Amino acid sequence: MKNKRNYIIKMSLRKKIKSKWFLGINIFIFIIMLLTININTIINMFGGDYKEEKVIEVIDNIEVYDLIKQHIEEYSKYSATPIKIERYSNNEKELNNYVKRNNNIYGLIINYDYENYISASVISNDKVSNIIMNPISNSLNRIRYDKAMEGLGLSSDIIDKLNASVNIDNIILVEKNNKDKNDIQNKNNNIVGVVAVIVFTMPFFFIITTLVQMIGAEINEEKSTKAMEVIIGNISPKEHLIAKIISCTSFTILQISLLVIYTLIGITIRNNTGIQIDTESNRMMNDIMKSMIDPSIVSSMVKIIPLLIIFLVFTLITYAILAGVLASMTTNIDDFQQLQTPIMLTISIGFYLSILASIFEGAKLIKFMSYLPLVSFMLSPSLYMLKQVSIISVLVSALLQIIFTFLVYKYGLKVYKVGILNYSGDHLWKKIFRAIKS
Amino acid sequence: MLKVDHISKSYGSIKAINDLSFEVSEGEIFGLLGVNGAGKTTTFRMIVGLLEPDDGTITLNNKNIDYDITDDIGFLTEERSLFIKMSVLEQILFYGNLKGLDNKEIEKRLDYWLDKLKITEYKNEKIKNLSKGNQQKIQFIAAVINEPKLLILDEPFTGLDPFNVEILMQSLREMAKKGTIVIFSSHRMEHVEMFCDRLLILVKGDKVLEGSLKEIKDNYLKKSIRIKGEVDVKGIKEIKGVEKVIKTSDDIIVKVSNMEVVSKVFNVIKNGKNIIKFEVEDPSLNEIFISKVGDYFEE
Repeated sequence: MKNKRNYIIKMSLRKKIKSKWFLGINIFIFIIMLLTININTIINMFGGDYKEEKVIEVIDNIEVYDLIKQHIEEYSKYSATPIKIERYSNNEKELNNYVKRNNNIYGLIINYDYENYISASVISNDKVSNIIMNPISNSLNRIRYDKAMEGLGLSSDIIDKLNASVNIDNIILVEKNNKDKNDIQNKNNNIVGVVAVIVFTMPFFFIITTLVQMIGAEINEEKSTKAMEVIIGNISPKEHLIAKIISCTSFTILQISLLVIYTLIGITIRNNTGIQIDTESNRMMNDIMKSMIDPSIVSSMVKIIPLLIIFLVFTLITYAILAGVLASMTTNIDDFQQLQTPIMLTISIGFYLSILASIFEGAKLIKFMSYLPLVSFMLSPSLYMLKQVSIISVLVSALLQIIFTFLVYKYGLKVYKVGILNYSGDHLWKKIFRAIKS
Repeated sequence: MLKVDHISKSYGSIKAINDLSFEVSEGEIFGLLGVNGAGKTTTFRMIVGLLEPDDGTITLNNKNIDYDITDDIGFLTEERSLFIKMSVLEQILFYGNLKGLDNKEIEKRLDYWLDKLKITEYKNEKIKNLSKGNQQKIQFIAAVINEPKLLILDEPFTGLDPFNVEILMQSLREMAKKGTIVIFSSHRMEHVEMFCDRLLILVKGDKVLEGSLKEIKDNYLKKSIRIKGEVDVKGIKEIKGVEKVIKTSDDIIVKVSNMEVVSKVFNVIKNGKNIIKFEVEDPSLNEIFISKVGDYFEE
């Protein structure tokens, strides 16, 4: 019987991997991921207007040229378009004529304003794009602020101090919590928390969704062709279900691993092409990645790795059993797609609550939900990562999930045995409850 | 020997099989007949171990039917149980492996059967590209690839032309000669008459008739008399025991309730003219079947 189960696992995997779709889709995904990760390099290869240098000719009537040159050059470091600042020594009329002759040249006239300290005009042949307007606007605002402060008699030292963030020290009275003083929570960085949770939960969300659909489709195919009668005539429903769980889970993990490999290849190419643009969005991504490998997050996750593995394995098994049982009760893939909706919603609940947990810190409902099987595998580790629950809570959630898995297996198998040879949709729920009671 | 001993099966309040018993010996070809919903498929499913009877037992050579002996059973389902995207070879390898055979042996046996059923050219063809008849042959090969001791065939001749029906029957007879127990169902009574040694008729889960074809026909009292010539039809109809007189283009068929009526009919027709045929015929199995099923429903 074991050999037959292994044969079904082998056949199921081979059917998926040897299919031309698997190869085709993976080539497609690989190409798309490479392109997406290296999109900056690719755009740069093709070039375009953005690569042309823009020159801002400045007529400075209030002696701030050096400051504005410094601010705009600093800003333009993070722009794909090179921006050059030059002092214009002739009058406004000649500047207008100069700008008219070249679309990549802009004029900037800075004047004193009695009410607002500084006023400025930008001269161009067309509407000014944000690439030019944003650095000019930001720089002038900053200069105006500094000038206003100076007007009040404040020195540049004092102005710098005023611009700096207030240093807030967190005095923790409970000694055992003191060691976590510098962790993610105390950095008060909500975005990092949300991103960390998304990065942590997204693969699980993807794995389980794929797994549920795959098991359903396989079982339905065997049922609809009536091949199931011959298969179950030779291998017990229990062994058949186990074979499906193992083969589909293995395939899902293989596909996820391939996605990770494609990503790593894409990042390696990106890091080695040497054509990178340090844009604002790139900076943000880098900050997020750095915070993801924050030692406090990494160390807290390492502590619960065994629990995470247990969580993942048992939750995958539970979802796989549920998908198998539901598929066994249906007679075609359309029915299964309807029946799988509650499963998908349950996965989504876990996913969204995990994200919300970093926003609604300490929410009682979210903490309660973190103990519920099927949802807890994403929610409980996420709450732990956000320091909202202790490792004991994660352990309790894992234990509840394990108990739930055994119950689903025990009663699910009873339904599966009945459902797998059921070809009628009549009295479906009656049949399910009768099977559970038996 | 297959022994089905007082089995019953219910689906909720519906009694699918009611206290059914029969035995089939090695080398015997046994027909299980019944209208749709009579319980044939449920009986087959219980025999191959897909369903457990609520009561009673089923044994093959004194062993209960379970996964330890399913390798000795072949099962051809009523509907196509084939993966249409697979090739013939892949499909048979799949089912053969489920029977515990190795690939080399499966392919050797497949070649034998493809040759016997005259479809060698389809070995690597996708099943979806085959005709219905050829798909049925592949399904048959899948059922016999393990050289089963017990072969269950649910409507095995569906989709086959008379030529291929004959080829399949011949193959089954050969298997039976080697000791295989063959149990099959069919709606085509002429197939059953040509083919089976013994049969059983099921109606709504109840056994209404069992025996060899000869026994069943002998025990069935009603007979038909086929007459050709100019006879007094009105006079025949007035004879007590004559149930029906049917005039065809060539003959007159007189249905009588028992053999004693035959002589009375003969006495009437001997006064007719140009009588060239007077033949007493056994009833067809179809007639017996309809009669038995009809009687049951009338009850």
